[in-house]
Amino acid sequence: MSPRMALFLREAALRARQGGWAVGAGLFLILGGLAPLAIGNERELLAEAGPGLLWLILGVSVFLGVEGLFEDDLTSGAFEQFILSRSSLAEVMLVKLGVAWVFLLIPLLVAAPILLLAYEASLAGILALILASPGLVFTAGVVSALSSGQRRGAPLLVFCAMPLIIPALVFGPQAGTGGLVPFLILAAYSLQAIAICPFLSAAAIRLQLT
Amino acid sequence: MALSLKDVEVSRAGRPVLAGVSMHMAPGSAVMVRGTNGSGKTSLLRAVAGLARHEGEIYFTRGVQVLDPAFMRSEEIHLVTPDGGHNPRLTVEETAQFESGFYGGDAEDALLQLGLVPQAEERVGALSTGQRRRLSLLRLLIDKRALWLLDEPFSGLDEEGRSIVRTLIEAHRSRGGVVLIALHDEEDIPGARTLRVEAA
Repeated sequence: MSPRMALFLREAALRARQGGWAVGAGLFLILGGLAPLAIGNERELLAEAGPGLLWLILGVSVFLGVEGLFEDDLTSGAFEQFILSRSSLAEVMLVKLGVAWVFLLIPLLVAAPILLLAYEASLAGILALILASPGLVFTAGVVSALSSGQRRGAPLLVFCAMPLIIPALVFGPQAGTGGLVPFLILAAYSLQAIAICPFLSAAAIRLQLT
Repeated sequence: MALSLKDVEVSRAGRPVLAGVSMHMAPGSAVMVRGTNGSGKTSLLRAVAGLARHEGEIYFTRGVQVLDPAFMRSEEIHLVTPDGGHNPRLTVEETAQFESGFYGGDAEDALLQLGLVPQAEERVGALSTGQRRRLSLLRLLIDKRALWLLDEPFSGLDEEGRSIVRTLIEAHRSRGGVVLIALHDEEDIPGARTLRVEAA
């Protein structure tokens, strides 16, 4: 078994057990389901406001799902062992965030169509969700790495990371009405996050260790 | 592999804890770092592992060749800490399988040597202190590395566990490995030198 495969299997077992994915999907469903009670049940209004609202809710759900991602490994000293290994810490972070993304995305893929249909919004939003979600998870991962080891990490995470996902908040709701451009921008947003965030979160963890 | 320290000064949380440490460790040698709590034993070990900032020189040599610290970190250093460095949510079996895949080695044999086979299905977080301590020795067996940094390796271990640690250290030294051990006064490793450290 290659070191990367071993790391992948370890992360998958941890993510399945830690339950961040359930927090993310549960929050998304509940907040999305309750929102019409607050904004009224006029169909035009819901179809108009729905997508924007869902993206905001999605951001919060992903952040709270990613919260505490590095906590156990930081306090148990596992990160020190990763530094003293043949894999670079950035590579370890790439695998960790990648697995966290898969585990958050799969339940969201079930929840999102239900809410989009209920709001009578365009189902193209699902494609936008798939394209933007790596960006959301990786960005949240950096802030999670910075705030790990802090008490009240979750509110801090939402507070600090929300401004970083503005591209997704602006272009996500335009999916289905704005042509091809929103999809391209969301994909670009995710690609840059995948390229940069493993290094940033590795640096954040190193900072915590010294 | 040999380890040399020259005028090493280590700080913890921005304050210097120990200063002026110089020594040379030839292949096959062991040094016990002794001192009171807070005297910087752990900080010294972490500095050698490259995990803590330090002043002065720490360098590794093989023959006349000076080795790159980054190479040492990735290939030749094991640090065993009291926390163990294992995620509490995984079972002993999963931890062993991960480490054997990650470092490349035989996990089953290592678990047998450490006497942890009966606990294979238990979560690391549910193990007793002594059992977790034994598990922390796992990677020493799985991946053969030249420099061992052991932080209080005997704490929490029963007599059988202690003898396992002693045997491991003995075998490692006979292979030409170097062992640096942070240790309390009541414990002793036969044939090891003592380095006494005091808070600066």
